[in-house]
Amino acid sequence: MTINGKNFTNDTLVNYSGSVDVQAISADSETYAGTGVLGITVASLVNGTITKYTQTYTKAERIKLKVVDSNGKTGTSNIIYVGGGTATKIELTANPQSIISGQTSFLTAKLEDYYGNVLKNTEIDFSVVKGSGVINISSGTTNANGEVSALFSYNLSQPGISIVQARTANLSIEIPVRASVLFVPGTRLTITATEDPNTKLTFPADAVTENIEISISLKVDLDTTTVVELIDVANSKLLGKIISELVRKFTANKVSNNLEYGEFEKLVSIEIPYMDSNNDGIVDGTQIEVNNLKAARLNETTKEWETVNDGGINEVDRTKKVVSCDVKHFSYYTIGDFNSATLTPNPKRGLETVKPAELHFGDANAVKKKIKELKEKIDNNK
Amino acid sequence: MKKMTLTILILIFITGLTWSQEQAVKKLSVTIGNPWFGLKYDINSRFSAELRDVVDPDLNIPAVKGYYNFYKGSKLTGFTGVGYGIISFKSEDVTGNGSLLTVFVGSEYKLMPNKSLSLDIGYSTINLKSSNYSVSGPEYIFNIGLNCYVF
Repeated sequence: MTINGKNFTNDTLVNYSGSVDVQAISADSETYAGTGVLGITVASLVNGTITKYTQTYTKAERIKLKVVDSNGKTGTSNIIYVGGGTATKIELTANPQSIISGQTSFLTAKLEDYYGNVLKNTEIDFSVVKGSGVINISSGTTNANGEVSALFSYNLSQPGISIVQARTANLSIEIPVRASVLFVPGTRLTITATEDPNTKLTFPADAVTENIEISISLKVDLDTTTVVELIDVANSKLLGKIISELVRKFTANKVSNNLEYGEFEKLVSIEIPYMDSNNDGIVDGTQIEVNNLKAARLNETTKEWETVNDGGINEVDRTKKVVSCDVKHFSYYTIGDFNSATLTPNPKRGLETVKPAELHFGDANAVKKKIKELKEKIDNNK
Repeated sequence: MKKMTLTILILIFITGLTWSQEQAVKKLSVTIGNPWFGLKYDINSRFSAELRDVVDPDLNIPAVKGYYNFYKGSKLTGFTGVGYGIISFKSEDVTGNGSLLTVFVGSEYKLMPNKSLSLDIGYSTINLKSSNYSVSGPEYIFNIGLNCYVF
């Protein structure tokens, strides 16, 4: 930036020394100041001139520089095109962020510099870094608004959470896109989570009366710290008795208004897996007996896990290594040993006397009494 | 499965024992009771062995019983003993298996030269299991039967 003091005949005033104010004004309307901040706002002329090799301005726009001396004399530069600086911020949005399998989500990535100036003509790469789904372009160039748009599509029959990434040379951002599965009344449906194929939902026919969207989330995918804290509080009350990371969030929302469906018309079966790689009957990494595992639902009011007893099964399937449970509605679910008074493994647990001894006529009648007790016990645990 | 195999082996052993002794003693009887059907063999004047199974559409309890005859009169015999049975059951509601261990005391009264009435009462521990559920506990069992001596 060079400022020269001149006379009426446009000759440089070589004997002039003094300070001038430097201002940025709009190139389109000189009566308005520029919307950015100028770095050098005062300059001292010596022998009628001054040169500043570095001048800064914070807004990417068309401006002119205007100087004013102590006598109110002014001078205006030519138009200066101020471009964006180095990218320091990248934004990524997905609209909508929750889709039904088969639908698409509109992705928009936006680049800005330190001062919030949008950066055009800059390459942004897109990718799906976790989960499933396809983006229609792998990269694009930012437009005048500093944005690149792309379409994310998800066509699996399993619900899941995909992590979509937008990246430049030195910046990246990731956002989740939740994909649900459509369930239509009158049909049956079995779905598994993409991130954990052993987590399964089975809907009988007529379980719902209108179309619903179904999704499954693992604990790592839960989207709010409030919920995670809630779960951690509930987990802390049952330390050693539950598999704390095995939390699943099942959701069923009405397609019509996106509200929760609530209670199903028929019980829906859920399956949550456990690990027992050496088949010793103890859940890996815990002292929990596999035979004692039950499914439990989070009571968000009391912040406690409550064993599910919705009128169907709630039992271990050691062949499939899952806990199967029939539920009336969706919520947060986990599995654990919710009845054990001790954490010490005891293979004989459960062989307790149910009723006092009675006199029977013949072995068969005595055994039938015990079968009746066994049946009652099974029913009570459902 | 192991229990079943073990039981079969025990039954085969005892059966073989009784048949090998039969030639000397010849005191084999068919026993019929409430409701069961069995074979009892008097090994000697003090000891007897019996194989029996209940007669019931929902139950199967093959059992072996050993008797010690602590009193032997002309018509009355007093005995005590122990029995072990393997239980399997199947109904519409529940299916499973288990075991029954009984100690008992009773008497046998000779009605005719080849027929006698047997009464006993026992204290039994019954274990049952179905899927992941199980129950266990004691019961008292009263038995009445008719022994028909065939050899």
